[in-house]
Order: sequence, then C-alpha cells, then structure tokens
Amino acid sequence: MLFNSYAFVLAFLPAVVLGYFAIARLSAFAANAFLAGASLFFYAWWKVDFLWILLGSVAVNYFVGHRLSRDAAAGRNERWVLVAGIAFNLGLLGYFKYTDFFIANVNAVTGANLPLLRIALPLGISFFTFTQIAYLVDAWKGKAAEYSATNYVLFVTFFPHLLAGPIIHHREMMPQFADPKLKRLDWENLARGLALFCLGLAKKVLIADNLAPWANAGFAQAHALTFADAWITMLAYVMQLVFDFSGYTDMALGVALMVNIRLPINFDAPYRSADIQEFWRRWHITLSRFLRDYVYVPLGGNRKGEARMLALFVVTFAIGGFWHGAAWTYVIWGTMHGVALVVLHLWRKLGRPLPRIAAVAVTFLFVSAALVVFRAPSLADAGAILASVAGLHGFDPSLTVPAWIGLVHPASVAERAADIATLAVFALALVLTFTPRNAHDIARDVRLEGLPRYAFGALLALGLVFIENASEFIYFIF
Amino acid sequence: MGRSFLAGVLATALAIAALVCATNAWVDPFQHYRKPARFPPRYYNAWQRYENPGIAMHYEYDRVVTGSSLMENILPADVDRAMGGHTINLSESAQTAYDAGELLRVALAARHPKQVIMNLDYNAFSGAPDRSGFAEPFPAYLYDDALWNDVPYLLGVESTRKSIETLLGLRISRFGTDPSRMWYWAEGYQFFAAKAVQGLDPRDLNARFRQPPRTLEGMQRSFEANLAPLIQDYPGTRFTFVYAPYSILVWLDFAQRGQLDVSLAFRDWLYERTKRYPNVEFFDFQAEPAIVEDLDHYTDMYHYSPRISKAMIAAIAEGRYRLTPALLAGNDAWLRKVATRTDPAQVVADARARPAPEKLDTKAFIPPGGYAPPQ
Repeated sequence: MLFNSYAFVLAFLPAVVLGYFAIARLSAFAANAFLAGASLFFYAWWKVDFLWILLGSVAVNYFVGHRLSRDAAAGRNERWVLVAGIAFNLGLLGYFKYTDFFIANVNAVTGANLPLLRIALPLGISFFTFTQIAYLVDAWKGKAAEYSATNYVLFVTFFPHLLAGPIIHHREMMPQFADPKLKRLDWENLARGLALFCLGLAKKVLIADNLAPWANAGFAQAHALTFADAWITMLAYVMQLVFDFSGYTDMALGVALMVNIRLPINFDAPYRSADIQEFWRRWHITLSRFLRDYVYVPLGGNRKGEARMLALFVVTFAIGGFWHGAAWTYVIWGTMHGVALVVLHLWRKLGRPLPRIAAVAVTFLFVSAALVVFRAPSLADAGAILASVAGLHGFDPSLTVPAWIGLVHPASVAERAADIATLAVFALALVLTFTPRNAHDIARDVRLEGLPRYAFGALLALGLVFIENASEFIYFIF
Repeated sequence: MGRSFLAGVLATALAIAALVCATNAWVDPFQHYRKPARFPPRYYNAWQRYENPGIAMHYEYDRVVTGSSLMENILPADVDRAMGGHTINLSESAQTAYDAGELLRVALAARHPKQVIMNLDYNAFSGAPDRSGFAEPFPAYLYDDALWNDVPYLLGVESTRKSIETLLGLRISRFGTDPSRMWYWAEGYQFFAAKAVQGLDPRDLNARFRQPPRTLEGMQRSFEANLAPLIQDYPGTRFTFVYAPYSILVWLDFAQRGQLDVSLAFRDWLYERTKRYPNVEFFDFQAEPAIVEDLDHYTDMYHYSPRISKAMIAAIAEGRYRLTPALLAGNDAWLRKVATRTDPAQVVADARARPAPEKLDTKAFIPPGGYAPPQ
C-alpha cells in the first residue's frame, strides 16, 4: 500500500490509529499484535506472495536472534550462529536482488548465454534485511534481546518504516512499543504527526511527482541533450529524488508519531551540506549509520592506520551503492562518494577550508553529478549527460526535450501551461531545498492553534487531489 | 491544542475535498454519471480510457466500433450509411486487448449492441493479459456504476483540472467537441509515401514505435482472458474482427524482429479457436497489395488515411474480404513472401523519391460520396 493512496489516507490510516488506541485501552499486548497484523496487511496489499518471503525472513531471524540473545546472556558468544544468520539474510537478498546481475555479468565476461531468471524483487527486502542484520549483530553483542515473537514481528514489519526505512535499531524501537504511557492517545503527537504527514505528502505529490516527467524525459534522451537540457535533466532529478525520498520519510515519521512512536530522522536538508561527510550526516542518515556501525567499523574503521581507513571509505560506500541496486551505476555512484570522502580527508590536511557558500556549491554539484550516475540507465548514458553538463558538447542554451520545449515553442496552450507549472514547481523546490527549516522542524514547532491548522488542512486537501497521479516512491525499488 | 489543531486540519481538508467532489460530480468531465447536458461535451483525446466507459454507459447505439488508433478515423455516419443502425466509435489510441475487454464489457452490458467491429492489432496482445496501453494506472473505477470507488474520479487532479477548465470556458486541455467524430484525428495529418517513411531507419524499423516482442502463448492468454469470455457471454452480438491493413513496412519490421511467425501463427490459431462461435467473423485487409504496398495511403508505417477506413467499412458491409480457411492460408503465404523477400531499404528509398501530392488538404480524404473499395 502506498502512503500516497486514497486507500491508505482515507481508510487504512484512520482505522489503524483509532483501532490501536481503542485496543490499547484493553491490552497493550493486543495493541501491539493489532499493529503487527495491520503492518502485514499493509505489506500484503501490494502482492500477497511477497508476504511469505517477509514472514519467512522474520521467522528465521527471530529464532537466530533468540539463540544469540540467550547465548549472550549466558556469556557465550558463538560467532558461527551470527555468521549463519547474516549469511541467510545476505543469501536471501542476493537471490532476489542480485541473481540476474551476476548472471548478466557472467554472460558478459565469459560469452555464455545463461538465461536470466527475472526474479520479482519483494518490496522493502533491502530495508528489512538490513534492519534484521543489525538486530542479529546487536543480539550477539548482548545489546538487544527479543523473546516475544509478536514484538519481533512488530519491530521488523511496523508499517511506517517497512518498505523504505528509516533503517531502525531494536533498542530504539522496543522500549517505545513496551512503554504503557505511549499506549494512550496523545493529541499533540497526533497533531504534529498529522502535520508532518501533510508536509511529506505535499513534498511527494506536489513537487517530486511533478518533476518526474522532466527528469524521465531528459534521461530518456541522454545522448541528445544540449547544455541547457542536461542541466535541467540533472537538477530535475536531484530535486525529484530528495523530495520523493524525504517526503516518504516525513510521512513515515508522521504516521509513527500518530501512534506515539518516534522513528529516527532520515533527512536533514542534505543539499545544504558544506562537505560530503556532512552530506552523509544529513542524507539517508540511518543508512549511513548502518554502514558505519555494521560495515566500516567491523572492517577496521580508523583503528588500523590511515591508508586502511581511506580504503575503507571507498569500500564501504561501494557496498552502500551496491545495496541500492544490482547495477554498476549504483556501485560507481557509491564509489564516487567514497573517493570524495578520501579527497575531503586529504583536503582537510592542507588546512585551507573553502568559504561555506563555495563549499556548499561544490558539494551540491558533486552530489548532483553523482546522482546522474545513480539514475542513468547505463554508464554510457550517465557519461553523455555529464559531458553535456560540463559543456564538452558545447554550451548550446536551446531547449530541445519535448517535455519542456513548451517553455519556448509550445505546440498548444496546454503544453505551455503544463511546462510553466512544472517550471514553477522546479523553482519552488530549489528555494525550499536551501531554506533553513525542514519539514521536521516545521511540524515540531508549528503553532497548534489559529491559522496554521487551516493551512495544513488546505495542504492535506491539495495532497489528496494530487494523489490521483499516484506513483511509487523511488526508494521502493531498492 | 492538539485536539483543536486536528479538528481544524480535518475540517478544512474535508470542506475543500467536499467542494472538489461536488464540482466534479456536477461538471462530470469524463461523462461518468450522465450524457453531457449542463455543458457541451468535451472529448479528451489523451484520456479516452477515462471517457469511453461513461460514453458506453450513457449514449444510445446498437453497434460499437472499437480498436486502436487505426480505427479512430472511422466515422459512425459512414458505418450507418453502409450497414444501417446506430453506430458509436469507442476506439482508443494504443488500445490493448485488456483495454478493449474492459470497455466492451461495459458497452455490452449497457446496450447489448447487435455488432462489435474491432480491429485485431497484434501489438494489443503483447505483454501480460492485464496490460493497458495507457501509461497512467487503469481507471477501473470508471468501468462500473459503484459510487464507493469513485473517489479518484471525484477528488482527482485530472477531473478537477478539467472541471475548472469547463466551468471557466478555458481550452487548455486538448479535446474535440463533435459527438459524431469523437476520436477522429486525421485532420491535420498528411498521407503520402515520403511522409510515411519520414525518420525511419530501414535497418531498425521499430525504432520509433518501440513495439514490444510477443509470444504466441502470451497472445493466446490475452485473448482468452479479455475477449473470449465476451464472445461466449453475448451470443446475440456479432463480433466482427478486422485485420486492418498495415503498410508493408510493418511486415518488414515483424520479419526484422523475428515477429513474423508469431503474428501469422496467431491469425491461424485465432481462426481455429473461434470457429465454434457462430457470432464471430473475420475480415482481412492485411494482404491487399493495393493498400499494403502503396505507401501513399499512410502517414507513418502503421496509420492509413480515412480513405481506407471508409473503404474497409464498405467492404465489410458487402461481405468482401471475409476470411475463409482458404483465404487465410493464401493471405498468410502472401504476407510471408512479402515480408521475407522485400528489401526495407529499397522500400524506404522509393518512398522518399516519390513526390508529395500537390494538394495536401486532408479534408479531401473524407468526401461525401465515399471512395471505391480497394480491389
């Protein structure tokens, strides 16, 4: 089920919130069970076949985690159980997500003609796999223990984070699910959760979805873009992605807050970052945290010398890129970020920091260029767009892509109106990206009386009207 | 405070949403609730899948013409003149078998028409049986008369945009207004050989239309899921399936992409499969050299002029080009020969060398007296 769907907003969400608090008056356990059941329903709505994969993964991890917690409590640290658990998770992820990638590469390298298996990718598998790997490691270290199957199912499948994060830790969720005080309806949380949901919905359906046609059109003709076309293509996608993903996260956090659960923040105005390290503290924060704690640090982190540390920057981000998808474009994108971290580290040694505005500009341009690689169907397409962006094909200012040619040569009133509207959304997105307060700040600080409630009501109504354009969230494919 | 904020947000959202719903129900831009009476009808070419089901429910007719864009230039008046009765044309650009099945289900239930004339476009049977030819999600809620699932229609951005345009008398969206030619598009198009091959790469004839590959099993599944049940459920309706003509370039494209065998096999299979139904007949214009090989009839490799549309209707009315087993075999053999023995580069070069007609007034293609049918 999509957050940006009528079924979710008008039926599922109100029913779950009301049902949860009504049941919680009777039994905390029953309320958690209800929430877990609702989450499974939410997941199965899309494709019920995937539910069995999710449940299978949850069941195996629950039993492995149970064993690890019991051993840790008894002072035994049996590494092989942890390794087996992680291998199971990576095997599951590898089978569903990477099998065809490996077959295609074997075919390319050896000249073989092995058929692709075309395995359907279960939604959210990358997210629930990472969440559970983190849980197993924490259980092995004795930092997490979960003996209730219902609670474990709820922890993994809690619908606000299930499909596209944030990637959560057992220790930050279970105390909240267990706290009886949080089982009582809190009007302020409900109000601020709704406010955050409205902002996220608006970011998704009013901004990201309206920029998508431009981004898609530009990438579809990567090899025929003028200088101006290429910049529009790149910036349209850069804006689409951040409003899509952070809009989803705002909705997730808002929905969770309605039932008194605080999920970790995942975005904090990332394009205002002054260097690539700051960027990863603001962009997909819970993934950065996972990669740091469960990849970079276990591989040695900064404990084994500078050269090892710098190499690990690249390796960790290459793995992060590969997690996004089974394509070399993602690996290159991750590697670019790893290399950028290395460059930053070396630059800092020179002791010549850039003025903040220049640093922000350089970081934004790098992130944007890397996102072209991230989005492009192939490395050749990415190269063609970036070459046009850099002016290697000249500095032709003319607009040629049909999706926005109406700005200069409209074929009809409709085309001109549509293109001007998209341009206005584009401008709004750029302004919002660089304004100091993000959606989370606004929802946290908004005055809960007077005019703001009408403004948020109008925003919700506008979001509902534009829902009909419903599209999937970009991060659902990862 | 939280409670008052919540109440304020929900009340405001509800009030605005109610206003939007009421406006859309009143204007009814896609004719879902009624035949237009309050405002002149607007036929939105880009939203045929949204508008056709309402038209099918509320208009009067006893014959349906449907199919892909190849059928959109058939004028109901021409059909009525040739065959009698009261025809409606519910064709849709890039219509798939799924689109057709869903639409015909509505039309058959609403009006029990005596005849359905539908072209069988091979590409309409590609992909999954529930594949729609429209990029947007298929608006299934417009294909029934249940109110509870109409939220996307009553609250959605497209309906709202079109309602506002209608109320303000704006002409921003593209639409036609003539109920007698709702989806007619030929005006403004030119039909001659050099135009038909414009931008074509003879080495990759599919580059522009990017039609997906098909399998016989996939096409069969699509037919069984979408059309076979209608044929069985409505024995009183004659299903006249038309193999509308393509230019020779399409057959060369099929050969180029390894799609020739599957196309011919589907024709044979379908003929056998439907033999048991007395309410099914086929007309085949695809092996008529005068149409297929003369690129002056086309504006691109697929789309022929209204002259051909009119001639097809006349031929069907007279029972010419009706498929028999012998004709099917002969036509298949001819198509195979043409597709495998003709050089695409030569066809394209010849077409480019042919002079454009001096007068390109496309209205000349629909003269009141009609045309001689192809021989």
